[in-house]
Amino acid sequence: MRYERIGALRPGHALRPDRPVVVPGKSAGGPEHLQGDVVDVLIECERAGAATVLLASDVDDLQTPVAAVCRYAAAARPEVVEEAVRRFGAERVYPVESVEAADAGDWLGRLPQPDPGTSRWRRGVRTILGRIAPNRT
Amino acid sequence: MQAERSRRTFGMCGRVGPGDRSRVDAMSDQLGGVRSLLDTPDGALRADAGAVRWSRQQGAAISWSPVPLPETVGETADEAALRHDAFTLVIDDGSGHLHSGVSGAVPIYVDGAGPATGAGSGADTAVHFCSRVEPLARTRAGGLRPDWDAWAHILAAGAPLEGRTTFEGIRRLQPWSRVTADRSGRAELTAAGWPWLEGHEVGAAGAGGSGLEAVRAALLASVTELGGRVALNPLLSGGWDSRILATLAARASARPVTAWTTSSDTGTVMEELVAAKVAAQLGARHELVPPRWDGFADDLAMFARSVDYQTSFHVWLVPLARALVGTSGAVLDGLGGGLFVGGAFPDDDTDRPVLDKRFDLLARYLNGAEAVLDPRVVAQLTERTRASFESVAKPLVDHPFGSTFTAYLTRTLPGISLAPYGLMASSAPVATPFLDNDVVRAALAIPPAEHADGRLYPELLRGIDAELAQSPTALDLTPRPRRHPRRVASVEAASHVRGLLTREPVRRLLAPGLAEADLDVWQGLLNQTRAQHLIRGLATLALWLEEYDDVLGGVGVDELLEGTR
Repeated sequence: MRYERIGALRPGHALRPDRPVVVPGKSAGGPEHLQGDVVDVLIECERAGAATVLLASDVDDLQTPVAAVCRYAAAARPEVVEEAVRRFGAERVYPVESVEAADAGDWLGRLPQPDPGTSRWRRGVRTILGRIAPNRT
Repeated sequence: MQAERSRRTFGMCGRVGPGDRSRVDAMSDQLGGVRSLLDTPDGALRADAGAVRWSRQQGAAISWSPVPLPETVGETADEAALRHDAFTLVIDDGSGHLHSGVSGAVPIYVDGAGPATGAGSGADTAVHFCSRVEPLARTRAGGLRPDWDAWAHILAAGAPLEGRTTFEGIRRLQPWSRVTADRSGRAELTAAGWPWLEGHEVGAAGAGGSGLEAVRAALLASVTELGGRVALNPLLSGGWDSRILATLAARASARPVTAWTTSSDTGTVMEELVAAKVAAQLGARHELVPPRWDGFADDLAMFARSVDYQTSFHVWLVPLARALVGTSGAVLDGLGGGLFVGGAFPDDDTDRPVLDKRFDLLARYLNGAEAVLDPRVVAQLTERTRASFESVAKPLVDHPFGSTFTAYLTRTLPGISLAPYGLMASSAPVATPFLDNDVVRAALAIPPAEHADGRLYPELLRGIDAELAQSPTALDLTPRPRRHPRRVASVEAASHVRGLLTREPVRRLLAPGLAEADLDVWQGLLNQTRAQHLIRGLATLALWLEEYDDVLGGVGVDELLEGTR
């Protein structure tokens, strides 16, 4: 799967909703604070609908302002996965074998794929109506 | 109230009219022990550090506000209300008088006064008052009964209308209320003559030139006066109101200002990102406090408790309230800006009756409510909410700012105000400069049409910071669909609320089949604004029934099903 690395992006870079952006944690030299170009790039990710994925090597990587705005987190070490689940929720955390940015293509396909025509809640409504209606009759 | 007590002793309580001190003492204990400032046969008041005592020829007076007051608040209770939005207890020979603030945004609850009318209404007893519902409820001599109309309003519109609370007989004081009680035991409550609604020329100034300049000058004066007394902690989202307040705070404060942001859990992180940019442009320190997914249940419980179970609008704000515990500086909140400056909640341009438009806007959560609620409950909520809505909204139909005041009295005051003055005020002093009397009066002098679509905001800010006035807001930048996962719709949150709502008796209010539905059905509902609102309201009801089970005695919810009023 094709993806972008945040360190290679500059404001104005064309982003796509189907191409995630990986964000190394601060322990791997990734951005920690929401300042300068990092904010502008993250704003463009959000506008484009591109998923941002924190690559967390260490528990401290989960506690930065940049981590707070990433849509998903990936971690390899069990203690980091556990803390990430506590902070971000089970549905946003991906246990992986390696959090090296170079290996991200191996598992990024597990992320929910964007569906521009049908948002998640609309699917949810259809599901609800489908399941509840039989019980009403 | 143990959790609040461990964070900060805050609030005030007291009595107007003759009575002994035992109930006031008991309420003070419930608040965590607030100091006695006045104790006479005609009235008593205990309050935190926000109170000041002042003298007048006729007798003693004490004013109180959630943000510490200056030593001089004015010559009269009316002046204290107009200048500082303060509550004041005045004792004259043989009678006591309680005056509420001009905005009504700071909740003060009373027991023994009956509903307010323009002409005044009477009750033959002393009136006890408190900044929280719980001390009044737990010290009440008579029995406690749920106010099912209030619960209908909470579910349908977000908060109780007409000054109701979740308990029958305990009322929230409306703006510019006065309670008078004398030694005969006669108490009078009136809310007539509210200066924001009467007695000035609405729409007399244009937005250009002096009109907007007056709003800007009043805001600047309000924030500067406050900043001269206390440190300022502006909350900062991605919108206009908080941006303007943060800019004014940065200008008014001699010390570096810290701006505080959390996620509004609306499926985007644009608020956090735009706030970070704004803080950097202001040279302010920025604290981003993200929610923890494993903290949802605790946050829901803390919010409900902090706002006395009167609303469920701002659960997402709890992480900031936790982070600000013990802060001595005043939290600046943009309450009221969207209405009085931004022109929010305008009438749509259809030719339907005005009351129908305004009711549908308020109770929009009922649209499609059958996915969450039993159809009989939907009918009850609609009937009870419409009846109370009309009592508030009918007198405003022909007012030039009728849609503004209708939204203010039916949504902002009963519900939204509890985010700053219920939740945040349990952590730190709070101020809401957009509700300063001079700011509101200046804004109301600009014709309603010129407020439309938030068009005053950039011009208002341009006179203070031209660069920020041109920067887009989070709303300008947020795309559709919003793709960021919402905590409230997570597996963790859905599991918790399903657990709360499928217990008796709240389970009986649910749509057929919903109690047995899989978790992803609940997640789907929680991802919709309207259904989520109803579910949060039901969760609040479940928590309230649990909290007061000892005094309500296992009360059921049949009145919301059958309408046995």
